[in-house]
Amino acid sequence: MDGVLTVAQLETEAPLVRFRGVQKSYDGRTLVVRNLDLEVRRGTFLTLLGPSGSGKTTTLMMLAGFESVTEGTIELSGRPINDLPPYKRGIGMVFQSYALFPHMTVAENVAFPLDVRHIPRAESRERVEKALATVRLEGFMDRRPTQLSGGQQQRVALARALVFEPELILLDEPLGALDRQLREQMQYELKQLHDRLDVTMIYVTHDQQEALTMSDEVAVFSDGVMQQVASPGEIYERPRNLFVAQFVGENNQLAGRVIGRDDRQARIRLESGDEVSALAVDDLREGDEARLAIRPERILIGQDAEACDNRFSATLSDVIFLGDQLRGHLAAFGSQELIFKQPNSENRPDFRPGQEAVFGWGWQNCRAFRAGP
Amino acid sequence: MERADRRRELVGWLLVAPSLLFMAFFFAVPIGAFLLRSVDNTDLVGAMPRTMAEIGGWNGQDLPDESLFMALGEDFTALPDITAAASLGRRLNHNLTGYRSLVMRTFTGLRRHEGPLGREALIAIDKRWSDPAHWRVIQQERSWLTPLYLLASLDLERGPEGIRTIPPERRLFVDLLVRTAWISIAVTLLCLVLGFPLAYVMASSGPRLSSWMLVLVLLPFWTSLLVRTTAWIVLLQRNGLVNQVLERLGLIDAPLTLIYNRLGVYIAMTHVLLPFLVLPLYSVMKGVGGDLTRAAAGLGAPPSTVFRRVYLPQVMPGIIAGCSLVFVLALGYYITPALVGGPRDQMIAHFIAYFTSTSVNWGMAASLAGILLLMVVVLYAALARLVGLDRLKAR
Repeated sequence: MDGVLTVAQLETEAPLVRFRGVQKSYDGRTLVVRNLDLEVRRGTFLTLLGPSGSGKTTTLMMLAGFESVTEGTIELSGRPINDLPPYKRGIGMVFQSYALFPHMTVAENVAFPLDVRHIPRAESRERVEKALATVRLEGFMDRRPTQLSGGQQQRVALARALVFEPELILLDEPLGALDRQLREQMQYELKQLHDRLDVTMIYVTHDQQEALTMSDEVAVFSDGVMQQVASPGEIYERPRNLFVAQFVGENNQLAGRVIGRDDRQARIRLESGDEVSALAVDDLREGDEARLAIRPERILIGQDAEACDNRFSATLSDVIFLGDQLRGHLAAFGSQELIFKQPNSENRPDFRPGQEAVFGWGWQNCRAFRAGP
Repeated sequence: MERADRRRELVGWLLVAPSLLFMAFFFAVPIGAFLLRSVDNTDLVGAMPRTMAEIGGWNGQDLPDESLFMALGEDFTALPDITAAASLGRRLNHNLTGYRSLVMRTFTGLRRHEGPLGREALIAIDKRWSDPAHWRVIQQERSWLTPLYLLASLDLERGPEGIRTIPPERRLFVDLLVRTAWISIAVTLLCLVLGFPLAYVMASSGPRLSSWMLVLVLLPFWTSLLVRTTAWIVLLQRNGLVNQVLERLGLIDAPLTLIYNRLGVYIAMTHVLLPFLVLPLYSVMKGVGGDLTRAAAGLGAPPSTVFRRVYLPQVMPGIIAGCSLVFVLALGYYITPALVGGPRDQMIAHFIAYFTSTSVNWGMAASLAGILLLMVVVLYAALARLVGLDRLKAR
């Protein structure tokens, strides 16, 4: 295999979707999406994650063909599709509003993509039945969309996007309108469906928990810029910048100045005068302003902290018992409040508010970024 | 439980009772009373009680016998004054032209007449009493209800052998009804053709532009109908703006006749009624989310299919609401065709106005109005049948 790629491999390795230097501007001045370079491999479940206005939905709409591309190219299976109208792209799409046709029955809705492709009636019927079975809505053929619950409507929308067997399915916050329990169930079902059908899905959400649970890959957006694209674990454990660190999961943030640098390790003096060591993610030099991010579950307390190279004392301000874990705040470094999480283990220390405690962290678990833009 | 339901129902009825009563007294009763006039014959029957009682026995062929002449004479002498005679004459004149002068002559003749009433006396006053045709009119109209006006509104009359069409040279109303319906249909279609794209652009453009367009659409509403119509006269007349521009541009050699004909009626009515189509259509179009058409396109439907299978069904309630509004309003149009139309372009409302105010023939006015109402009801029933009433009400 070394160095030699077979044709088959080339085909499977070639990305299904490729954004090259894509920019989007509505008014010709402000960019909604900036310089986007992104490749999506076949079979991937990719999530575009970001707060509203970050450009994730615009990116999806450009791929679907509902928004024009201001600059750059989008390729689908190696073919540029900038000028291809949406109906020729063959991409399945599920909207947050479901976008079911209210004047058609469930079966007519699902048959719509087959009708416009002039699939014979018998085959169409068979495929509609199969698609509805896939989303577990067999008995609902003759209902109107308005007679269905939100979750059922979303399933119909999904069946309609699946029925013409597109290679790529785009989902624009499809679970946004559902309640929590139903959303979790649908997340699971969607993921199952993705694994079973072997399609490529691109999913837009602002819910980081959803992104982490479902995706093979997560692309984090902010201010029109894709901040990082990586696996959920990578995104969580090794955020590439402060935004990703803040947006995905919880992080304690500390500010300070770099006073020393040794390979990947940086020494940073906090505003309180305490000195800590951290993993330098950006190219930090002595004298640079730095921001530190540390996960609450990476803060160790009491005996656990003894082996840490960063060790400080603090006052426990409060502790909340959450069943499987404990969560609390530490007052340290002067006026700073740090959140910590501890698994509820058998030999956990007895935390009491007001108690003095020693805490610390391994330097690799604290990530140091350059402050400011 | 059942009692609570009944109570709630009762409270509901009580709450709507004032508006129901208002509707009944100020809407249903006057219209009903007016429409009854299209078949009402009490004035005639009341004015000639003896004749009406007697004439049932006449065979309708020969000259009536002495007693009938006597009854007629007594009825005429019993008329209180010349005004009553005039109105009786006008009424009978609706059936047979010339009856008015016959009644007036008989009335004044009988005033001067001395001696016994009867066949000889009446025929002496006016020879026409020897013609059975004049008696047949009275015989026909001896009932409290008369189909005269309704038949006349359809260019029909009662002959000796039942209902027949009137001679071609007197026909008017069928043509008028067809013309009214046709002008209304044409104006509705013109409004749809012009209004649909306008409403679409309004619904799909940004909030700033669409609110400006809405103001422009509503602007005509704030000026009087008369002003708008006369504005068209200024624009369309022989040396009006439109003709001048066309001549300047060298597109025409002689001024076109754009007004005082059917074209003028179409132009002015379409302009006046356009907002009534645009507004309901716009509000429905506004409610159709872009997601539906996008979803259809994303699922592989080319634009024409998206329009036909997804967009059009969504906005159909708006089209139907707008079109039926324009059509119903157009059916009753009066001022605009009167001002910009020619004599052959007048619509049914013009004749209703003529019969109520000029010729004071309330029976004809009422039956034309009744037919107009019937046209609207038929249209509504057809629409309800076609698309379902609930869809008309939807949104």
